[in-house]
Amino acid sequence: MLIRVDPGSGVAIYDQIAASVRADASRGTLQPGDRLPAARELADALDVNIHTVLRAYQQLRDEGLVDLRRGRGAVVTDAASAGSAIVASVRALVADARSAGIPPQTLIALIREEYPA
Amino acid sequence: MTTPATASVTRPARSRLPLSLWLVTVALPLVAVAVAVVLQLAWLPQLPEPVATHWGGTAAPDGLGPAWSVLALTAALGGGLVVLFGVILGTARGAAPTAMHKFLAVTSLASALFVAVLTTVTLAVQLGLADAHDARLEGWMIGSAVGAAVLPAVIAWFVLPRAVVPGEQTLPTTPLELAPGERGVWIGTARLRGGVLAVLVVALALVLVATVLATVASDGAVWPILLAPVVVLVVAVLAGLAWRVRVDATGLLVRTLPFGWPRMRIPVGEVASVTAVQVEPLAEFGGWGWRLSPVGGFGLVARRGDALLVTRHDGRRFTVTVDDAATAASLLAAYAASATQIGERAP
Repeated sequence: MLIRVDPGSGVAIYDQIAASVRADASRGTLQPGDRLPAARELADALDVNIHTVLRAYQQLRDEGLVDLRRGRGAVVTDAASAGSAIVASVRALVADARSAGIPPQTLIALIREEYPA
Repeated sequence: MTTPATASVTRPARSRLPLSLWLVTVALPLVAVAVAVVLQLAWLPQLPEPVATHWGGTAAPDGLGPAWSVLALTAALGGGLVVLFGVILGTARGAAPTAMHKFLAVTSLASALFVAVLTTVTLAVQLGLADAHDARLEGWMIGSAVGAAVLPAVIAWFVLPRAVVPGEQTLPTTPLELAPGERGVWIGTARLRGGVLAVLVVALALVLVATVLATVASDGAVWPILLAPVVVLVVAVLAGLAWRVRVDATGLLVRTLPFGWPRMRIPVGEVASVTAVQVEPLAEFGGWGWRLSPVGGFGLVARRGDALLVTRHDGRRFTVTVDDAATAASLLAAYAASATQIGERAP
């Protein structure tokens, strides 16, 4: 699994870690049952505070993407596989839009219309 | 968050090995074994019954058996080895012939010749004898069998086509695009599975049972000799069953599970090039776990398929099989490229 953080991006580091895990899950790199790296190891490798990583993991737990269990670490739940189906649909949608000559801005506007925040 | 732009790694097609390689691996060894069996059959009327089948440290035999057992040994062992090497080469994939393919081919020839010549020599020294106990097998006779096996193998090595180096065809990985100040970490786990794992565990169990039996049978006399090699073997196998691969700004770190040791560390400054490759465990590394091979260099191999190949500035290569190796390679390539730039700017 690939985790990227850019301190200069203005987005909180823990949000970036959580987003990386989400992206890995939706790509299918992370499967249900896979274990995330130990928070200490990830903090060490990314050169960030361990509490930053733990906060990202807690955020993912609140979303239902991982289970946090003492002694077992963070384990990816079945919810992760739901994301990969969406990715496939998005790819198909983008391919359709491209062949129909619809620019990205129009496609995003159409999605916003269908799925208001 | 973008998907890294890496070329997908496809599994290479089954190798088309040159005909000369098959001649050396299968045809010549089978001819040698067949000639030995026919010769031994023809000698049957002139041989004592039983014949000498085993020699200890001296020229005189210390074991007797029926003559057919020597013929059966020649056919089964000689033929079996040829089949084994043939099957290994038959499953080869990718560029061919590599040095490992050639090595397997000449080893097939050498082992078949050794079996054929040695069994024939042991019967030849008994021709016309009434009692097999009178047979004498001198050291130079065994030496000539070794020579008859090794010499043709060496000649075959040079007659066979030049070895190709796998990886020549693979292109360097496109480095992951990292914004200035952006950091990336890639972590993956690999473990031996299925049949390979079962075979290793059974083999290890057999070694342990044999060690215990040998110790009991010798009233404990052999354990001081056996202890060190058995411990080394057990640790070497257990330390090559699972591992975690980590790529970060400092380079590549591979730690075997569960203890984290032994480990392999390649600092980013030593990385000359990185690629994601397809690995064939038997053809390129001769097996699984920690491997050192003339073809693949140093490697940690769990299965065929995706692997990360790192070449250092001094030319040494390290290969580790792990899923999604293409992403790991692109991240390490990005860090290696920036380390080189910093190195060039430094006085």
